[in-house]
Amino acid sequence: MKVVIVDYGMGNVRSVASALKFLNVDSIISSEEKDLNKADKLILPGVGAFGSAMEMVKARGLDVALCEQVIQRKKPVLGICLGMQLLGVSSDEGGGTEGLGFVDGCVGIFNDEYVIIPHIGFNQVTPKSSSRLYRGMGHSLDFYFVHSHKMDSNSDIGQSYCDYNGNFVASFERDNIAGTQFHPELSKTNGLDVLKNFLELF
Amino acid sequence: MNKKEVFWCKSCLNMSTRNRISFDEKGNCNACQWRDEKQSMDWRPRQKELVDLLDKFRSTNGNFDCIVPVSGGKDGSYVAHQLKHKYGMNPLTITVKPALSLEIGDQNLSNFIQSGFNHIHISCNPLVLDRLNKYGFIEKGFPYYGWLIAITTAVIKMAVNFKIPLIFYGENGEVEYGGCTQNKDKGLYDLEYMKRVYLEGGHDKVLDRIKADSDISDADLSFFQFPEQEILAEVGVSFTHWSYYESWDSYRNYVVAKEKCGLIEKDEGNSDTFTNFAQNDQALYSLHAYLMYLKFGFGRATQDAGIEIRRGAMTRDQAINLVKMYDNAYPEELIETFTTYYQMTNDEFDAVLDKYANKNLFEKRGRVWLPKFDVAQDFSYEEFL
Repeated sequence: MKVVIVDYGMGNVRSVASALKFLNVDSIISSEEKDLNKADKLILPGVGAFGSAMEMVKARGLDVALCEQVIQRKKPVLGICLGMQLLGVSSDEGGGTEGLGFVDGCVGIFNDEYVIIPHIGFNQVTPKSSSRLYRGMGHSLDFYFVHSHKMDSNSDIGQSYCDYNGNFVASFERDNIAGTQFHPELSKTNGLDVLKNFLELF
Repeated sequence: MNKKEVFWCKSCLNMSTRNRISFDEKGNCNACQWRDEKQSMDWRPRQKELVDLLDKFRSTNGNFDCIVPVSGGKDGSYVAHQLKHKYGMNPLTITVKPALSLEIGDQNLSNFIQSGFNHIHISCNPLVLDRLNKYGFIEKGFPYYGWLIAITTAVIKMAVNFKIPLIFYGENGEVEYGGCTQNKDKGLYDLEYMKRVYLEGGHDKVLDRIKADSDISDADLSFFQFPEQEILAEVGVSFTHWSYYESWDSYRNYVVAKEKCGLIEKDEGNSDTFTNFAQNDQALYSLHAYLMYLKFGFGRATQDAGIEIRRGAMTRDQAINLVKMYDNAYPEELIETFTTYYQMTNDEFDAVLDKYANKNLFEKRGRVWLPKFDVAQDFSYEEFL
């Protein structure tokens, strides 16, 4: 299986690669179209601001390339943290930016004054019962989060929720497209299990 | 008068006030430079150095050939496991019991030993340890200085007694987190370096103070004193860090320790820096972090956020928010624990904090010291000499 970690210049590509190594899965880190073409599965990580991330994605032509791989060729993709948010329709970060639009989800800041930003640390996710990402795992699972913005959706995108002064989308999974707001690569055994499920079940 | 510049690392939030730290021309601290360097460097020569070193010291007669100080946590467990199972060494693992231990790690330590290690648990005379901790707090602003001494001296004593020539520590914090880069490209180091960097000098001063107490004899201090130079030279004890030979990756350490050494996953819901001050192996760590903040302007949130930034999980802006929120948090809920432990009144305790608060960086409002600076906003002040 060829796994490509899509590198658009922002974030945690190396920790994702090293987590995959624990699963005995070799991956390559690339933004080249030819590598994406040969890939069986794609992982889109990311840490930082939505607006500049989209600029970097577009500057490398990755918006077009990802659309071809994911929408037309139906290749499985897993977005992580900011990478998950980029798969949504838009973000209000920095006055509003369009995302890749692969799933119906909008990103906004945690805007409650009592909430500490970023939301950081381990927090519990309640997996949706039909979930593939969490298959074989428990009912209430700890994962590691670091984020200031959250995704909400009014559609059924196979979301599982986490509570941080209200529910937000901790992950979604629809057909070949999945995303986790948490960092599976930093979430100990649970995180490795989610990565494994993505690689095996998508 | 002397103009002092205070600035923050351009990548993480390490401050220029940090002891022994250095910055490059772009304003990146030595920890961030090392993060980049270690990703692209060729580790094979250092791996070979490790193999050569271990070949030189490997025991053939059943004696222990290296010491690994452990706490039951992921890092020491990983190092001990690699030495024993990957490199065929015969390590003796050692734990020095801290004061006010929170017992979170007890089960992990027990599991680690059960997974198949020789281990010695050192309990220094608590009456002496407590008093050394108190004097360290007063004389050096180090709340668990007695323990800090013992994890150096008592471990070295064991090395001498069992004639074990090599002591393996986990990561070199100076290189990984910011500080002295003198030993960055050097595998082995000597006792003088240990004394200077780990005990920050002043070991003698604190010992002298306790020796002046009429109820303390030299015999009480056995675990807290370095062996005679000649005895040490006879065994030829060397010190080294695992992080010199293999790129330090705490996540890898965790995975191996869990799989091989029985490390248990805690319910992590509340147990990290940013949400709960009380949780750690020892309660005095919170005080240590707070004093670090008063002395230098950065606390535990800055340090932990730096680790998150360097492993690519957090942006600098997110870190600034957290540091503003947590570094200045006075450990209110633990003050009674501390004053009871040190047998001090609140005023005596506060007087120690006042002594160490850096008046160039802080001003006192009521009972609490407040920063005169904004996090990540470089500034300068006139230092009065």
